[in-house]
Amino acid sequence: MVPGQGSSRRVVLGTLSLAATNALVGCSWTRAAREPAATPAATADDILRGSALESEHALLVAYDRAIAVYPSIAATLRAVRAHHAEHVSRLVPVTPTATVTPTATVTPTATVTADAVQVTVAGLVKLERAAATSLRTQCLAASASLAPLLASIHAAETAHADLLAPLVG
Amino acid sequence: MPAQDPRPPDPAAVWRLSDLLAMEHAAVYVAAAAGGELAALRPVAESARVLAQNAFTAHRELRDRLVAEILDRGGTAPPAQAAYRLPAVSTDLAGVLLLLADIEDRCSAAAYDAIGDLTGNGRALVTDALAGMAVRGQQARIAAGQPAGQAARALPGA
Repeated sequence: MVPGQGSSRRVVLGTLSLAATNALVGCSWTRAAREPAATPAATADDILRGSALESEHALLVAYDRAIAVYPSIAATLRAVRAHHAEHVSRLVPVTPTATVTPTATVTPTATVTADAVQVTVAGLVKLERAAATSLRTQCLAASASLAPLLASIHAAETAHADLLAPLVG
Repeated sequence: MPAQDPRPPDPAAVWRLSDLLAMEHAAVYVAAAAGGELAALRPVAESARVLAQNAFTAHRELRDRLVAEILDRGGTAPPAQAAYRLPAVSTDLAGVLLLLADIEDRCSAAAYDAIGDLTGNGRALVTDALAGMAVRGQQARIAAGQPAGQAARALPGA
């Protein structure tokens, strides 16, 4: 995608929509003009960003749950969670209303066994690796402007898995 | 049978790959120097020596693949310097480990800058390399005693 090309197209589409609305004023079949204007088709990068965001939100929820239940490893998990929150902020287009940080409400259980910790961390490692694999594929399909960010997040997820793996035992 | 035509000229890709290659030459030198420093700190530095060896092997392999990518695009691969000035001369274990981490961060920045100008196999090569740099840099910082929050990078290379 050429930078700026998408926004230019949106401007043109918006202008056409306005012109069409003006032309139809007074007609008996102007109801469609009061409906929300059609949004421009999502670009390939929009789809890639959306997919990456979905994965990051799932990771945030998983880390929130683990942090609430396993305080013994919470410091490490919080550090990784902060990275995912930063990934979300970098992936979301610059719109103030779009920043969403899901927080899971989990009540800590009374008994936390070492096995349970290992199972949970193993699940997080699996999630990180799956996210890294997806991000690599997305990076190779992305535009020149988006690819470096996806590659960097791919690298971060790979390193997260390496960081957590020793906790699995 | 005529030789296969080289790829069409791609000045931006060659320029970025050359920048990364120049950094890889330095990384090979630094990893070797770190290995030498750590050899004098045995036996406590055995695990650190493994990190230095891994870094040396990875950067040497990437260097060779980058040379091939540049030549394949009709460019001229920049040669290594005879020697490099190290960012800090620290001969204790933590200092050498942080030197290893530092060169991974510098290489990560060059890889990050290159990715946008690459496509296909070239982008895949550098994307995979960036992940390896992030892991090795993190491992070196953890081995140097840094906590996870300090050792890990949210956006390697950015």
